[in-house]
Amino acid sequence: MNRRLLIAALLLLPSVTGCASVRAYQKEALADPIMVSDVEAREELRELKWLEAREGSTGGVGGAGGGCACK
Amino acid sequence: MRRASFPILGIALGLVALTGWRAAYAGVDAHLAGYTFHHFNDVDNVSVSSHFMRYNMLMESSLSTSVQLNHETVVVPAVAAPVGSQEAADAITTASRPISSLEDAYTDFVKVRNELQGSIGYRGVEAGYYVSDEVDYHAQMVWTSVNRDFLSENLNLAFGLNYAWDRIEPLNDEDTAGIPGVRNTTYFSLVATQVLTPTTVLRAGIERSLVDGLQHNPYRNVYAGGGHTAERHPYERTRNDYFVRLSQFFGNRSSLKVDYRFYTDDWGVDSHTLGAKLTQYITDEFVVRYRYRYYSQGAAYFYRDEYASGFGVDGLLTGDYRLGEFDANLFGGKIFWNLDRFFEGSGFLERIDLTLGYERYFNSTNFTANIFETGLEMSF
Repeated sequence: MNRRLLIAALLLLPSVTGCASVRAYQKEALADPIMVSDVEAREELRELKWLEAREGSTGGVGGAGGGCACK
Repeated sequence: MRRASFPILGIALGLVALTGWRAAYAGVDAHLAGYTFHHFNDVDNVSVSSHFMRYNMLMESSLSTSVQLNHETVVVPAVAAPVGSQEAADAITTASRPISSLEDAYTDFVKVRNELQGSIGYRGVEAGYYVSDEVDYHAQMVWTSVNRDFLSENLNLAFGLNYAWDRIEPLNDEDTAGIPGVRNTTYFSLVATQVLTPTTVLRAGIERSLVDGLQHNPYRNVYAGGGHTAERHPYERTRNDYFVRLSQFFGNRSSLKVDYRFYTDDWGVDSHTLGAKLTQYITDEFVVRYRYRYYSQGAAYFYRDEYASGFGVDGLLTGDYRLGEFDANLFGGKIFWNLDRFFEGSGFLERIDLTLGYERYFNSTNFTANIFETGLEMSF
């Protein structure tokens, strides 16, 4: 996997898509609870706790507690 | 000293939160309190019951504080095979829990984990502290993040930095040395969120973590060279991942979120994760969400089903299936029920939501698990 290509793609993302200017009054749908990511971020943190104990590439961000015995 | 650190830090965080509350009470814009019960049970009858509680306070001055607690109980069941059988010997040898004697193997291992997290945020800058304590593991972490809007608030860039330090103090285990150890993790993230259209958002990011210290299970043995020896993983690991998520809102009041994540590390583990979530309003008060996730990973370079000698591969050995090759699937559903109409006129609650969820996880190593979740969230 070409890591540099992925990073470049990420950094270029704003310049590629930045021309699409959506005004504040057009963002009603984006503010709907089913589109907002805050709730999912909390769910993902809870999920990370048990997935980290079951998959080799999940977690690793530190601070998930741990415990040896449940892994 | 170790035992004292958790309550002292907890009290300190509580005082900070209360001080902030008193000082700024007149300017408090919103309170949000939530409770979630999470129950995990797998095919080996390992169960984890978690009680998450959180309290957030948003102030008119753009200051926000948050305190979260988690109390959970982990139960690892006793060896079920007959005493003296080969099956029992295998279970004891490869156990990922402490077994201090033969008698101990036939009783459940139960432990409690307490976690506390506090954070404070101001205009896109956040800082926090986390501590977790259990009988054989103590973890702490500090973190900070900064995010800024650009291009008329159509682009948000966020940078995060975490530093965690864990202390592992294995309990007495009959067939391993159980040497205490430490583990330090430094984590960076960079995430870009771009509004593409009035109904579409694209999010992409990179994460990197550098882990240094004890990373194997100190209770687990591995079959090698006709006998068994303790598991040994490298002490350093560099982990990188790249992810992208597209969120689309549809005219029938539903949304679809599709994501992909690629992960790679210097232990040779690569993985691909694909996920999709479809959320739909059934009524104004009732929302249902369906979910599917596919995960596939390759093996670490030192992973073997069986080792020819006690030296393993370059001195490394693992009995951890998480470092082998496998695929996993997860599907589930969740409902969100807004209960405001039952509390109309209370003069106190602004919003109250109930959630119920079920997920089923299974992988190609015949591991399966059921995950149940229920939660109540209030803002006032």
